[in-house]
Amino acid sequence: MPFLVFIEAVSYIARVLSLSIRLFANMMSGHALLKILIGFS
Amino acid sequence: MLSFNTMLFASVFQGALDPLEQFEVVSIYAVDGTSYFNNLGLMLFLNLCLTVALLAGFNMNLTNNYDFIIKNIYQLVQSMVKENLYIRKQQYFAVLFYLFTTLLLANLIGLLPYSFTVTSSFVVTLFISLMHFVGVNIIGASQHG
Repeated sequence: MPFLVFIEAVSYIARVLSLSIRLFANMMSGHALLKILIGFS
Repeated sequence: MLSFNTMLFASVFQGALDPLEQFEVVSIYAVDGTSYFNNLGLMLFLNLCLTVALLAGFNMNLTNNYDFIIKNIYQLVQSMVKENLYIRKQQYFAVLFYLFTTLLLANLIGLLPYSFTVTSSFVVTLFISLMHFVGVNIIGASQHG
């Protein structure tokens, strides 16, 4: 039972970090892709 | 601090086609090597000013075209809140509306050339998410604990 509490707490906290990393990575990859495609022209 | 500035100028002048050059936080006001203001702070401040100007200039009579945009964003966020958040009277609608508007404006401003995308720096997204995480936990523990 304490093991389940630990797992739930870790997944609850990791959701915050995961969502912020997702927004950051999407923005960064999208703008880097746009810059690369502009550089081809 | 000297190595920081030389690295900065080297990356600015060499990498005109470097795709990761646009995410650099460049100091734009420094006194004696100490940076007081950078473009991240500038774009955050611009984003705040644009959000406040767009939301504070809202007219109920819909006299402007921007009023229609804000009304559509309001209805979009309202429908999202209604189908996802089952709280009576919708008391946390303002927080979500402000969050949606700031993120939308940050991403739209970042699409302009020679601009800086605020949400492509990890500090901003981490602090947005941590801020809402702490707030949600405090409210949940005080009201339902």
